Amino acid sequence: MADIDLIPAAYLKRQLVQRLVTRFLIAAIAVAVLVGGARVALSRAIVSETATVARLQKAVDIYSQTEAKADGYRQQRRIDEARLAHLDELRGRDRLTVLLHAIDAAYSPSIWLDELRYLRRENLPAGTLKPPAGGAGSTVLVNPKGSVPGPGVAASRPSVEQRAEIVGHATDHTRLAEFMRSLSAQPGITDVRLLDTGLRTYTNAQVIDLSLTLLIESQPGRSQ
Amino acid sequence: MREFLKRIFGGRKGYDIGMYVGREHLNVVQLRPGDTGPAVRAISSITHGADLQQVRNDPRLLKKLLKQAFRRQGFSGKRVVTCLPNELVKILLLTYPALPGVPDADSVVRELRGRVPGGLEGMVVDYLPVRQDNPSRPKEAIVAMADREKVIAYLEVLSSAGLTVAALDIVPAALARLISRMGSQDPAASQNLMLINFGSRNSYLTVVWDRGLMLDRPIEFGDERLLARLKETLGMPETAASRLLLETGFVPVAQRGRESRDLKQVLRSEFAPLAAEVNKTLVYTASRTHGRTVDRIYVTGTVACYPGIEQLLRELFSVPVEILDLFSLLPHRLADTRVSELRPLSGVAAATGLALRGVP
Repeated sequence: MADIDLIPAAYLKRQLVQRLVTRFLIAAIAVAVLVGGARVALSRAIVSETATVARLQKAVDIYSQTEAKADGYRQQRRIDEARLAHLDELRGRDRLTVLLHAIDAAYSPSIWLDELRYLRRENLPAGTLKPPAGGAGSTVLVNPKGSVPGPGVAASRPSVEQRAEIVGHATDHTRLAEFMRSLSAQPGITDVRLLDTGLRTYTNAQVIDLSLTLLIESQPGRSQ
Repeated sequence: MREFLKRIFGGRKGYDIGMYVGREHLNVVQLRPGDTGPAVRAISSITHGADLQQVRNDPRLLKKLLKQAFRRQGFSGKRVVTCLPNELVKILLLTYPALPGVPDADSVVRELRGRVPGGLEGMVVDYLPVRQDNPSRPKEAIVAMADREKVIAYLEVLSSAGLTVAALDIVPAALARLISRMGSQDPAASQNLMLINFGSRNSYLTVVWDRGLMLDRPIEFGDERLLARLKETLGMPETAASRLLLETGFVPVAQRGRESRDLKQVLRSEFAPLAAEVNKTLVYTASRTHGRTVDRIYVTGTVACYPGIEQLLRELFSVPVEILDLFSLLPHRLADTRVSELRPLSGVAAATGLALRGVP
């Protein structure tokens, strides 16, 4: 069945155009809102990310600075350790240990010591070491203060002789010879020389004065 | 599966809303596809309580009324099929010569130019060809005309009220659409029907022939006439007369008790002009259809609500009479009380006819 429609054609056309324009405007506004929203969201994200990047960059800088400081500290530690090693080397603690262990091992009741001099020098004097004036007790000499290299100075490996001079007494020459042999047999002890010897009379007995020198080397297996 | 998906996602959407603004009620109806044809999706009829002109000219009032009508009813969308107010549209039956090679539209316009004194300038015109079985006879068309400015002003009011007008129909065409649906419900039933739409002052006779609108004409008959007669004869106020008609109607005395009056006898003379107009229309129809006449008369409107009216009209007419009941035509989910409220309203029938436009 056909139908009557009294809507004017021009009105319909106008309505259609209005509808299309409205839809277009709605679509355009929607697109604009979407684009605007996306831009706002993007800019917010960029701001947020920029802040994060700046924070991370700062963290990287702090890390680099910390790392540089740590490197400096590590290097300083290595230098200090080298210095300490050199100082220890200069102080000759290990050799002193070698010496004391050797004396302890070679010691016999027929020997008693008055002086024990520990000498570090590049050129060991060939002559007899004079005992300190008026003193008869044992003396241990360590390196003079000026002989230690200052801070920051690269520790070199000088060929330093470290010797010890022992002044004491023995009941007889046989004990003295045994003592010297025993010392020479101790690890790290070489060049045991008798510098001086002589008889001395105490109240009712005779003893032998002795003065000997020896060369202390580093501990066995340790390179100098 | 495909049918199921179609039903779920697209097969159940509502059709355009049919809207009819009557003198007292704003009527809106929306149909939806049903299993066996269209079904009622939503229906509402509210008393607008204002002057009809005011409702038609005030978009804010109309919008408020629509909001009230749509509330809790499940209407979908704002596309409406409505009709022009009666006073704005002129409907006439036009006979025009069938000229070979000339489109009907041109012939209609040429004939109208000769008939309308002021010409067709500034008018909106549309027409419905009337089925003509005899090609040798002049053709006929139901023509609707309206002032373009007034049509556009009315459309603007509807648009301002938030509506999208899908079509601007006329009431006779809407009612013809509805009763032709009634005829098509039963394939064995005839397709030639008459509708009497009772109004307050005037009533309308509409003839549908083979599912096409053949005739629509007003007659001077309405319930005001019946009420005036009762007031004059029985000396009762109009409200009491109206209540008497609605409660007692034309039910025979034997069924009501001795104390009741027989309104049929009192008002029979008032129905004489109606019977004459109907018979005249039937004769005209027979003259147009090689002696055939309508097979059934449907009645709707105020007078159709009176008890016993069906029996009274059957006595008056030689053709079977039936009260138009759209709720027997269209499946619905309304409560019985709601149906009994809506059934008498002729505006609901008009709105349903408008809602049926475009419905397959």
